[in-house]
Amino acid sequence: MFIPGFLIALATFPGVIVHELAHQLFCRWFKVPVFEVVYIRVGNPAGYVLHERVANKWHNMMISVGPFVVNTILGALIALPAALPMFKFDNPMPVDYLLIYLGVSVAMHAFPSTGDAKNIWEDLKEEETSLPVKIIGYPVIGLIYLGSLGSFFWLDLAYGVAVAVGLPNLIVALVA
Amino acid sequence: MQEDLNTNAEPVAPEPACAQCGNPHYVEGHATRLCASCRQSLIKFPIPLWVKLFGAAIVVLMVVSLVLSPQNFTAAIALSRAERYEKAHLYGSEQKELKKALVIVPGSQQIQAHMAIASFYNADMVTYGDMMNKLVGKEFEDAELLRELNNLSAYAKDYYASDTLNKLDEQYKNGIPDTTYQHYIQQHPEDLFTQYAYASTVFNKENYGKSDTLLAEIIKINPHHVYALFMQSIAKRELGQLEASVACCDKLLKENPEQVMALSSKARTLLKQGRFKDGLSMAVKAKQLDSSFYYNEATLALAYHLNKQTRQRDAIMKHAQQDSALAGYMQYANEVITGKKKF
Repeated sequence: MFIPGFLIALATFPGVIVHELAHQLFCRWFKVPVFEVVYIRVGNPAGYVLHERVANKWHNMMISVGPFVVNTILGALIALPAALPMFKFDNPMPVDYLLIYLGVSVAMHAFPSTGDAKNIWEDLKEEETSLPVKIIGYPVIGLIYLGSLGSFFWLDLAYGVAVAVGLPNLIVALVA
Repeated sequence: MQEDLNTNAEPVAPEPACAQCGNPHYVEGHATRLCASCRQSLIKFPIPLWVKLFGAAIVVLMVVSLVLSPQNFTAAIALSRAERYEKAHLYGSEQKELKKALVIVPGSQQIQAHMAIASFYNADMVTYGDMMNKLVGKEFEDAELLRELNNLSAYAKDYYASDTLNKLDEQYKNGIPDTTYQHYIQQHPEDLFTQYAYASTVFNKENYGKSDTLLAEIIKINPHHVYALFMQSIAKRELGQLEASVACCDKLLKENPEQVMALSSKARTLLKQGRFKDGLSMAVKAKQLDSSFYYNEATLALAYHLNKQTRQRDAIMKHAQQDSALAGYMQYANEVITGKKKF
């Protein structure tokens, strides 16, 4: 089923906001000036961060993929206590539905966008970019594009559900 | 998404200066010309209040989540273990785990359903009835679980008194006469609980032969009837048919290796066979599975007595003096220990 991207972004806006906030916080962490932040809007992209071109290639990569880490961890933590009552105990409370919605929304926006990939690509093209950065960077770009392609087949939603719902159940299965 | 500032698109200042405020003293070595003050303020680009509030709300939810999760995790781990025990037919261990889970999540349909299954196989019909009452009218997504519960319901009627039997019980204050039982059973051969009640009456009169015959009739119709098999194992023991008594217990243990009634009765038969150590270890195992089963407390006292472990035996006897319910079960053991009866 095809649903326009902006509608999905609006329906899962908490994830978009967290994604952009993560970019901004990584910029702040690496002391990179930020010129504009759009946390959510109707359009493509649904949000963005405009920042100074980063000299340190590692920092640039971290700013690009930072939301992947932040959204994944945050999505998993938010959904953690709700996933069990809902899917293990069959006994959810209203707050559990909210937590699952938030957890899935946040986790499904973990994937960096193709704009983030282009940003890394610009760095990798430069001759002075070191070999380790290239070794890490090219697969990261490949994965970002694969994720972007997969989003046509709801890969981002599947990832969100896997993080928010699958992870707690996996932990329980491993510990039990 | 993140985007670089397109420095080519910046308005070109006639003299190099801060792109933000025009200050000619900009910080060298960066892609964008910015004075120290503007650079600092842009590094700390303000986060709007609504985003801060949104972030705070998420943090609050996260904290609530983290406070709630350990309890939910404990319950989920107990439920997962219980499901594993159920697959292995270890219903005693399953019920123990489910008890822990139910304390934390008493309203969970999933835990209640598994508790109904475990308690049924453990012949804990009070818990089974309680769980089934809670599950009545609820919708099930798990078709396999529902099928299992429905299967058990078909057998469960054999463990509950019919209205007719209850009326008879009220009518005859000094006990239902044998002839009434016989007449009723002839008319209602499908009412296994009444047949069991009659076999119990005969058993209590120490007519073990007749009781054994009546119990065999019940087992012919329902070969899984836990109470009938348990009582038959005792009747056979009293009749001196020790191998047959063990066979009754083994039938129960085949379906549920942790069936405490079967373990305890088998322990007594083993003691009677002179296998004192085996009898004791089986009674200890039964106690570990369910410490509230009084019949096994008496078995354990007998086992300690026959294994000459008087300190442990006396501890149970002392405890029985303080617990009137346990004292009733201890009467036989007490008589054996004091030498009034031969084991």
